[in-house]
Formats: sequence, C-alpha cells, structure tokens
Amino acid sequence: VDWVLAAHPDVMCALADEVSMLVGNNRSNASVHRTVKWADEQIEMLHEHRKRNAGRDVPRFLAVVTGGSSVHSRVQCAQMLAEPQRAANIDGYVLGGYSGGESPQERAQMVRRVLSKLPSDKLRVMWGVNTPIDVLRSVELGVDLFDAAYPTMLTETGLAFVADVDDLDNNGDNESKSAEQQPCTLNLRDKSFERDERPLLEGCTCFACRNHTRAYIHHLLNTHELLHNILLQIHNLHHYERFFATIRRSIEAGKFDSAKRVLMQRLRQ
Amino acid sequence: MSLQPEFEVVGNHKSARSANFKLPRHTVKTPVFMPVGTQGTIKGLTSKQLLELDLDIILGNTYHLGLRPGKDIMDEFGGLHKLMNWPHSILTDSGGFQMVSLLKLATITEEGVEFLSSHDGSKIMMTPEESIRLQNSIGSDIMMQLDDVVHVSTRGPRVEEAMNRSIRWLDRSIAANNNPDKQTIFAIIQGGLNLDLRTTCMEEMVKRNTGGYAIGGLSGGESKDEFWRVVAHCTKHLPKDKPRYCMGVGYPVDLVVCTALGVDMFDCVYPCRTARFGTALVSTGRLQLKQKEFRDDLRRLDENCDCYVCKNYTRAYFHSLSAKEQIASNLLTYHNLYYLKHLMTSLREAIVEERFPERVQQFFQLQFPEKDYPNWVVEALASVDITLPT
Repeated sequence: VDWVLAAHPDVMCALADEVSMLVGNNRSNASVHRTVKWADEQIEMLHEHRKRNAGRDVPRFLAVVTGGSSVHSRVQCAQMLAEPQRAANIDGYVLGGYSGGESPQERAQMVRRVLSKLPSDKLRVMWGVNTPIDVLRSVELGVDLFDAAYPTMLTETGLAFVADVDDLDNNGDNESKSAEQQPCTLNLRDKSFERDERPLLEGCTCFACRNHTRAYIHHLLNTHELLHNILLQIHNLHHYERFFATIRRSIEAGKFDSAKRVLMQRLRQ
Repeated sequence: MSLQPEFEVVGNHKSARSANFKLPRHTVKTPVFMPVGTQGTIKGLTSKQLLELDLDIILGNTYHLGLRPGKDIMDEFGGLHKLMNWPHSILTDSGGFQMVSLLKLATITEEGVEFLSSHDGSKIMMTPEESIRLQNSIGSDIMMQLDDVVHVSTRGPRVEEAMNRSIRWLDRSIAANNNPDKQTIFAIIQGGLNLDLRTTCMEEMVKRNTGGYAIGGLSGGESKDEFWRVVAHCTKHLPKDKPRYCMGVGYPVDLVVCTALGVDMFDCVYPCRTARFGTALVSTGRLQLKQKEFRDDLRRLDENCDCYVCKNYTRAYFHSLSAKEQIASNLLTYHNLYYLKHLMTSLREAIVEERFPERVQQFFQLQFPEKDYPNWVVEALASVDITLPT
C-alpha cells in the first residue's frame, strides 16, 4: 500500500489472492478468505492515510472478487465484499481471475452470479478480458471498465485495428454485405501494403490516419524503425476508444442488443 | 536548364556567414544542422514533430532507401517527401559511404563500387549514374555525387587516385541527372589531409558549377588539429556564393568552430544516436543520464532550454527509463535536435546582428567553465580572429 500511495494514484486496486480457474476447491476457498482479510487491512491503511493527510490525496479503492474455479467461492467473496460496512469503503469491484481457460459460457454464468451480489451503483472492472468480442459479452453482463492490452498487443504484432464500428443502423438490410465485409485487423507487414497510399482506416481522424499511409507504415515495419510502433499505437488506441464510444451511444439510445448483434457479426471476420 | 539555387548571404563575420539557401520546395536557413533520417524517418519522431522543431532539411540515405522500399516504390509514390509526408527539404547522400563502411567485400573500380548485397548476397554495382538515378527517384532536393572516398588515415597514391576519380565521377553524376531543374547536385571535395590535393580538387570541381560543395573524407578519426586545418583551407578557397557542407560533423563544439571557419551545412547521426543511449546535449555539455547522480535529479534537462521535453520531464525520469523504454529515446532525440536547432539559429542571429564573437565566447564559457578549452579550438578560432576568455 505504501508503494501504491507513493505514486499518488486516483484509483488503486487492492492486493488480492488471485487464483486461476485451474485450482481446486480448497485453494479457491482459501483465496476468498485471504482476499477479504487483506481488503480489510488495506481499507484500514487507507483510513490511517486519510487521517494523516486530512482527507486529501486519498485514492479510490477497488476490491477484487476472487474465488478461482468455484462458483460458490466467487459468490461468497462477492457477498462478503458487498456487506454494507465494507462496501462503504469500496468504490468498485474487480472481477478477478478470468481469461484463464474458461469458456465464454462458463464465464458468463459466473459473472452473472457474482454481479447479482454486488451493489449496482459501484464500478465493475475486468482485467485481461479485452478482445472486442469479449468486451461486448462482458458489457452485456454489466461490466464497466476494461484494460487496453488488446490494442497494444496488436501494435506490438504490427497489426492495425480497423473493424467497422460505425454506421450500425445501415447493417440490417444488407444480406449481401456479409460476403465482402471488411477485415477487423490489417497485417501491415504484408507485402500487399507496399504501395497502398490509403490511410490505415479511411475516415479515421487519428494522427496516423490523417498524416500517413499504409505504405509508409509497412516500410517502417519492414525496416524495423521505431516510428511504426508510435503510429500504430496512436491509431489502435484511437479506434479501440471509438469502439467503446459506439457501445456507450448504443446503450444510451436503448439499442445495445441490436448493436451487439451487428458488431459481433462484423467482428467474427 | 540546370537548377542554380540562390545562396543569399544575409550576414557575415570574417569567414562565418548566415544565408538563405533557396531550394525550389523550401528555403533552408544556414548555418544549418541536418538530422539524419536514414530510412525515411528520424528514429521515432513523426513528421509533425520535425515541423515543430522547425527543421528546414533532413537527410536520407540512398543505400538504405534503395534497398527498402526500393526504386520502384519510390517512383510510384513520387518520392520520399510523399512517402513520409515531409514538406521541407531533403538531402540524400550517394550511398558510397555506407557501402565502403558497412560492406565487407566492396571493390572500387573506375566504373563504380561493386559489392555484395547484405540482404541476399547478390552482386551489385553502384555507379555514379545509378546513384543519381536512385536519388532522382527519391526526389531529394540536394543530391550528393558518388565519390571515391578513402579512409582519412590512408597515405600514398591512393589518395590522389581517389581525388581524381571523384572529379570524373562528378562529371558522370551531372550527366546522369534526369531532373536538373528541380534537383541540384553537390560536389564532394576529396584529397585527404593533403592540402595541395584538396586545392587541385577544388579548382576542378568548382569549374563544374554545382549547387554547392561538400568537404568530404573527414570525421573518420583524424586529429582535430588536422581536421580544422583542412576545413579552413577548403572554406578559404571555395566560392563564397555557394554553400559549404561539412559531412559527418555533429558535436556541438565542432559545429560552432566550423561555422566560424565558414561552413554552412552539417549532418551527423550523433544527436539521435546518443539520445537512444540516454545522453542529453545541453548548454553546459552533455548529461549521461544513466549515471547515478541523476537518479533523484528533478531538474529539467537544460536550464536554458524551453522545449516540450525540458518543460515537462526531469533528469530522473530519463535516468530510470533511458535505454529501456522507447519513449525516453524519442523524447531525448526531440530535445537533442531542439538544442542543436536552437544552437545553429543563435549562431545565425549572432552573425546577422554582428555579435558573433561574443556568442561563440558565451558558448565556450558554458561548455568549459574552467576555461580548459581544447587547444585545437583555440587555434582554429584564432585563425578567424576570435579569442576565448582566459
């Protein structure tokens, strides 16, 4: 906690006994009790910190719901962390230990049960679940915050994220469109981009797309020049954020279900 | 009609000059330091950042660009300016230096330089014509002739042979230029450390009336004492109405002295390369930020610099991230180029405002507070009537 506070964060995530999906019931159970105990200790430390600093510079606190492979343990952990006295000191909940080999259905089942025990007026976070399809599934279940490892991983592999996340209303009546749908990622190392004067994604307003071409980025990748990382990352983060903006808009318009359907179909390319 | 870009001198002090070199696409303000963007990019910086740095001209390497992306793609795109979206000027070197220094089996004949491609081992012959044709495709505003460059430590008849061959190769380069009204050629003066050979070379090459003249074959390990004498000799005899370009010069001290001696253009990989290893160029010299003393140093890189990096980052930041994270290398590269741009601009302004000696003195006082100036610097500056405070 001392190390975390030294960085003066706005939000801090609790140290928890996170275990994967592959452990047995005993270990799952142990992780719950240890996690809750540690959460209590950290809440106490933050109290002390608040007193010492006259309430200034105290980060928000995210508790982690663990429980390994056991649905029962996970639910129990959620219940314990949702108890009013604890919840009063907790600003959000991280659903930990997913993306460890479970199927989407298994994950959905666990997440639903866990979320049903958590207060609905607090943030729900998932780390390590960040591909666009997983994001859509998790948003549907009620998750609010994700990490951006996916676009970063694309950048490091020389890929650009170009999935069509716009124009959702115009999809319904175009059956034939599915035959020639645009790809979700471009592999810029491919020789086919050698002379391509187009931006990574037509219509994208990011710095990379407004100023540079696929051919240039291909050249930079080909020559192992540092700049390719920068241009790709700028675009990938920008476009990933646009994907999230589309999700938010569709929820606000009450059209998330149809938006999800359309996006899932496009993303399956 | 062959391009003769105007070199408009706007101020001078003894040998030093400030000028506007009016190339078709953009005017370059001299004295100028040209950062090296070897493969169509200056190590991690975007073209927009280069514009923020107010750079008039950058360098591209013909050898590397000729391999990747290659002549065909350059032709299709209409040149490097388009490929990298850079609106100001570009100078390309001939590729000769890379070949001789990078390649194991490079053989020099009258025809050209024969070598084995480092990519697929095939035999390639780089002739003066081929070099110019490649540079035509790259579309650089200034093209360097292919020269027969020998290592500065070479002695004996090879030096004279190389010098004479370079003259013949200059003629072939001029003849091969298929875009003479947009792209100008610079001759490269050779002759090693032999002042007589240098004189002969200059006499001949000046007759060809190229857009400018480079002083080649230096910065290869010769003593500074020999270095400055050759530079001074060349600037003394080269025409005053054309730019002089000293190739491979990039340490701040060298830039200041050579400007005093009458050089207008410089290039070097040093500022960008040293940034990647965590060294910042500052008004007092250099900071090797990986050293322990900077671990807790929360000051800006340079007290006298107001670039984006100095305004927002600390020495301690670079101490922990340099040589580990790309962002550190990018930011330091940015700062180093800003520093050099600012340095050259300050020299330019000082020349115009007739306070050049004072500016030079100020520079050296900051770099050598103990007044322990290198001997060669004292002598070189004395030759143009600049004395340093003792």
